[in-house]
Amino acid sequence: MSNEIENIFKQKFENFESAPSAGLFDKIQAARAKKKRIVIWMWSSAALLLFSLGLGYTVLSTSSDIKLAEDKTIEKEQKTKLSTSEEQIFPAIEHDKFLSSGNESIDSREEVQSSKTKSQTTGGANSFVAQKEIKRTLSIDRTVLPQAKKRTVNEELAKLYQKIHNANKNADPKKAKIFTRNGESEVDLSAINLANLTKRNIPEIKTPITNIDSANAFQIDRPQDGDKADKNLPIGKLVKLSRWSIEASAAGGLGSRILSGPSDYVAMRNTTESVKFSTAYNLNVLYRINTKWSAQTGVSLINRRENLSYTSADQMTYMQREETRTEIIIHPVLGEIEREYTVTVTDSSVQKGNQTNQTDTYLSASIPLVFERGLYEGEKWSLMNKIGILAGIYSHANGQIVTGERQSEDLQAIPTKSTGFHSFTYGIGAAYKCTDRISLIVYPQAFIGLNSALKTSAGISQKELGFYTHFGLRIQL
Amino acid sequence: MGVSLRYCNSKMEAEDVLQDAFIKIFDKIKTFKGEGSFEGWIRKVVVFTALKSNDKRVNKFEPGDIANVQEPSLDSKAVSNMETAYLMNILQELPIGYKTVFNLYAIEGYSHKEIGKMLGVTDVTSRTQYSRAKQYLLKILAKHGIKRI
Repeated sequence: MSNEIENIFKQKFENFESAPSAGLFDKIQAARAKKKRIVIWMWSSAALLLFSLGLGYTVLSTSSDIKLAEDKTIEKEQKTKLSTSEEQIFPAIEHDKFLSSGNESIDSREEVQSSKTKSQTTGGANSFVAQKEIKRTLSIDRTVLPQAKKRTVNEELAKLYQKIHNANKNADPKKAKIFTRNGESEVDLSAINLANLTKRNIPEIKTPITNIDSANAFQIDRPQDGDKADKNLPIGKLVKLSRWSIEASAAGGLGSRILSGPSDYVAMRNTTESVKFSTAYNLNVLYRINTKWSAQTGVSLINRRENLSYTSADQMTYMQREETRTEIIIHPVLGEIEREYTVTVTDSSVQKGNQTNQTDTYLSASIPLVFERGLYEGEKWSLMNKIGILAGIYSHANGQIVTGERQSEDLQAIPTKSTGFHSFTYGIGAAYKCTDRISLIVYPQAFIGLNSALKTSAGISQKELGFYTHFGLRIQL
Repeated sequence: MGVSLRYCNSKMEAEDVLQDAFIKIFDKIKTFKGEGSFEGWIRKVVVFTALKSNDKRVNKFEPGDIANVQEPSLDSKAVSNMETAYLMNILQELPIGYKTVFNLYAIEGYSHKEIGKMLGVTDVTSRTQYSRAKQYLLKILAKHGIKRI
């Protein structure tokens, strides 16, 4: 009996069906579509996040990559020199001969060239061995570091040369020092068979050959302290340039505005106002994020001028006066009689409208947040472009404006925003490098107002526009 | 719909369960490997969706003593003659916990051990709930004119 109820219910309900509401499957489809959309959004967001992270990482890691690339370029140059030279190459040593230029005891055939060659044996990928190459000339300046003629901003490289120089002062001529990014180590030169070395035969320091008596070949007098050789150090030419720069520029160009509001008002202003030569000024600080990108901010002043030209409406004037008049009347008894009487006369006159030409000025100060990217960098010339936003901090309008009745009104009466007006800016410019630190710049730049420069109570919108070509100086600190 | 209706208190709830179940079915249809019947698979998804929807209420089971529960008996002929839709109304009068266990055990044919796992309770609790559900059902049937014999 206990199972009876189960059996009945099972039998009744096993194949029981009930029709759902008509719209249920529409709901299911809608829910599925919504779910799909959520999934698409989630994946899109994830992809965007991943892309942003990747881009950020790429931008941030560019500088270090370029540093490595510079190092590798130097290394490549040196290797090329080594391979083209017909002279014998000796293993690297830390030696003062590297620095001495006028010492008579030096073999006149020798010249020491510092080169960086990747060590295949001891230091791994980041190891470099200072090597010397013997040539026929004695001139060191030209050959020690040909790349020193180029400006370098690689502080790491400058530090490395400084380190080599300092270590050279008290170096043991029989020892070679290997400098790596991770530190330095010493190699005993007496363990290397110099006789077997050729230009392509880089010494196998790992498997030293003994019984060498060639260390004397490197016995060279060291320069005394204060020797003029120090002055020939390449490190003097390695300018340590900061990431920070200052830029000051003045610009000339044309400024205008886009008006929107009542059409007759806009038409009136558009017919009476016209563009005029305007000026702009920038004083910015720049921070070099990497070799391509820099960020800048500071103060931007724009003094937009426009010409106001209009003819005021004709004016009617009315004047009333009393006039005494006489008249002759014929009296039936008295005959002709002259009579005087007074009337009030109104005189009207039309005053023609005046032609007015004057200049209005709109002065605004903004804080720019601009990113600049280098497009090309040559020995002297470089090209770059910049993009950003200007946040307004001050504005002042001076002049007159024509109202609907062709009458003028003071421009200051219009409610102008003192802050909170924003502009988008884009510029593409060129720089000419005068010295390592100072560059002259020419930077055509466009500004487009993102919001109205007038308050809402003005009832109209006025977005500022402008195109200015900046000329100025950029000083790298 | 018939399946989801048995686990829910109203048609509206049952449709919500059915909607959720079919979204799952469409999403997971690729995971159906062809083992067993497709209908059975769909039924299982509906049942599990209904259980999930009733999760909070169902988990409030309290273990009871089987010994104290008397086996109910009823006029089975009278019940057999009742319309299924009418029986459904009676079934829906059961508290959610009783209804769930009754559905799973009596109609779906799961064992108490399996039900225990599904609902996160012990098999003893499932057994107790089932017995109480049957007693409760008899009371409701009595209310509807079905006498005990």
